[in-house]
Amino acid sequence: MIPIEHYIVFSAILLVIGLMIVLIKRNVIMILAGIELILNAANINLVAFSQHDPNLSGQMMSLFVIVVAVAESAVALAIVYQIFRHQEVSNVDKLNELNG
Amino acid sequence: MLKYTDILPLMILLFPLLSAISSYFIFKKRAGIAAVFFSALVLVYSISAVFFIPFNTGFELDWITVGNHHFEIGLYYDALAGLMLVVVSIVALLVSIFSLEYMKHDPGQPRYFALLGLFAFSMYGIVLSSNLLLTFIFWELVGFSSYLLIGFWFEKEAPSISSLKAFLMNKIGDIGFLLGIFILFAFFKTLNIQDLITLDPVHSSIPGTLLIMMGLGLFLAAVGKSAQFPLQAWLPSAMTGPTPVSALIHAATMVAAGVYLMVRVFPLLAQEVLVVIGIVGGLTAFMGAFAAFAQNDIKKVLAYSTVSQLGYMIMAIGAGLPEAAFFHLITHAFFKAGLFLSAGSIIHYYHDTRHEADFDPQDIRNMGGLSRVLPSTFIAFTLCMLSLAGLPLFSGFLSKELILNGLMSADHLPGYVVFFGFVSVFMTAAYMARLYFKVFFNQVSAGGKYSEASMVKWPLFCLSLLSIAFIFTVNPLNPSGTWILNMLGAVQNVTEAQHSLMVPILSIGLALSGLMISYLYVQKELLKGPMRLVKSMVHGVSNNNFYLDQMYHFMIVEGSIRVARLASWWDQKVIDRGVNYIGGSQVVLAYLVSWIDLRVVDGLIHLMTRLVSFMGHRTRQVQGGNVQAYLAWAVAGVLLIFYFLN
Repeated sequence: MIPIEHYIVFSAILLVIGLMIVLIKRNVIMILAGIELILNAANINLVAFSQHDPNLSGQMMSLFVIVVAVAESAVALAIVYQIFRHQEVSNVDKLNELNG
Repeated sequence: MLKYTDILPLMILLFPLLSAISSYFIFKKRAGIAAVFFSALVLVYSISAVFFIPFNTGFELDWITVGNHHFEIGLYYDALAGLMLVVVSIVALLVSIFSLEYMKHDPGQPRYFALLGLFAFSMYGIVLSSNLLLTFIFWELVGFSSYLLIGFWFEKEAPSISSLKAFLMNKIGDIGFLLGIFILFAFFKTLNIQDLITLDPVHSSIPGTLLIMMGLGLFLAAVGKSAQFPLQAWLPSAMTGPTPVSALIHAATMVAAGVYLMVRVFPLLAQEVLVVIGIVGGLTAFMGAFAAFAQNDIKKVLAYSTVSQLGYMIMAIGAGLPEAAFFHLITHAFFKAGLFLSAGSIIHYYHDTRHEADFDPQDIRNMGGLSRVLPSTFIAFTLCMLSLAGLPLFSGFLSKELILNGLMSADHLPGYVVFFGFVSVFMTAAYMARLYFKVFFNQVSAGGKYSEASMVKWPLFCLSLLSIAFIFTVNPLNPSGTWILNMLGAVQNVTEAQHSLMVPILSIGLALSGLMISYLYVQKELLKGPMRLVKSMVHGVSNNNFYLDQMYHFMIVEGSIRVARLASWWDQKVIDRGVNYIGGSQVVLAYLVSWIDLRVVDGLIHLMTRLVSFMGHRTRQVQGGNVQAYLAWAVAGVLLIFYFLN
């Protein structure tokens, strides 16, 4: 049995990587990918902690997160695509059309 | 309060003023008629005043009160004032009548007659004033109206200069007058002349030096007004005024005001002052007569003669015989006014007949043979001249005898004053004869038929009549018998002085020899040799009046210019330099202050603004619209929260 600390460390590394991608990358698609990484880091935590839970409600929760993430990224990609079509940029720094 | 006897003097005083105002503002074209009318009225009043007003009356009104000091004004009427009023009003009336003819072509007639009225008003003021303050006021007024009348033709250069000269020289005398008034008021607290005479300053406790200074101050006033040495230079220059004005003001009345003042204040004068007065009078009589020889302007000859005769009057004051001085004042007023009006008639004749641009109607070298052209003027001039020369049967003889007798008996005067007196008799006769023969005889002057106007004839006739001795006395050889001395109550005084039969014989001899020498030289052209010798020696001195004008020019005018140059040098080199230094140091200081401003004060402000703008710039970055930065901050915040929660 893999001890729980390994999961936590792994998921923490994954969270930081995702966070770094979101903070540093300029490309919208890469940011979306970073968000996916953060969500999956959370999922790993949910799955790891649900091993000690006979109800498996944690795993159910992670399945639900995956579904929501899929939907979310589909909508986000559609928005990005539309933006790209109208403005021909995918760089967040140049997406300043809504900047007050 | 005013009594009915005070009304008449007041009217005599105010009518000329009324005449001046009305002839300038109301009558204009007929100003002359108004002036003659008022003058005649004043003459009638002043003659009736002699009969109807008791002598030694007057009134005083409070004028100014300063603390405990009261200044009063008032009129005083006595025999002296009464006689003077009659004399002045006779001459004023005759001169006004003469002016009608003389000024008939002049556009400035209203101004002319108004000024004559103003002058008469101020002159009557001097005559009637009861105290020295009022006298001083009118004294200034006659000086002022004389200034205006000398400069009557102010468009020309000479009159305006000589009017200023007369005014300034009179001002020197006025300083003396003020000094005398100050000293009198300081010691006696009154300026009323009769009160002062009662207080008897000469024998009072007033310090001797101040008494002498007071006397000399009052005398200096007379020196200025009566053209005595050393201020006599203004009177010959004053001849640039109209000739009738010269007759009235600069021969008969205003210049005699100095003598009148001396007669008025005679009891206030100390013995030492009388000596000075006698010497100055003698000098003036001699210098005036001497300077009259070489003049070629007919009016200048008469002006120097006036100076000389005024010297006689002043000499008489110095000899202690104010009554004799006053008598000579009266006789001189008539015959000298007559001479001046004759000169006016001659000038008028040349004005009317000769129109060449370079012709000088006053130059006696252009004249000659006028006895046939202007017979009335000729007769008047002859009578007045003989009176001036001091021949018996004429008024001048009477008054001159009185003065010469007084001089002989005045022991306090130095001997040369008496000598001056007698020499001047000779010279007066000589220079008048020179003028007389040059003007009326010799070659016949060119010019058409001409008859003197009646307004010229009648004044001349009256004045020459008044130059006859019988007007003044029944016995023309005895000057002390005249009714004028009787009126003044001075017969006793004068008869005491008279003691020598030599005096009339000597003076008549001198006058006749003066006339004779001029007759021989001018008319018969004899004595050429000795005359040329005399001429070469003294002509320059005489022609230039002892170089007094040149001396004044050198001392006063040049001196003032030199002082002005010095002051200008001081201004430019010292004061301006100082100012420049102060200015320069101010500029340096300003630069320093500006440097501090720029570098220190402005620097501080710039530093603060830079700091604020730097901080603003920094803090602005936080909300720069960069979503990732927001997120980074948010993460940092969350991390901080976690850090502090543990």
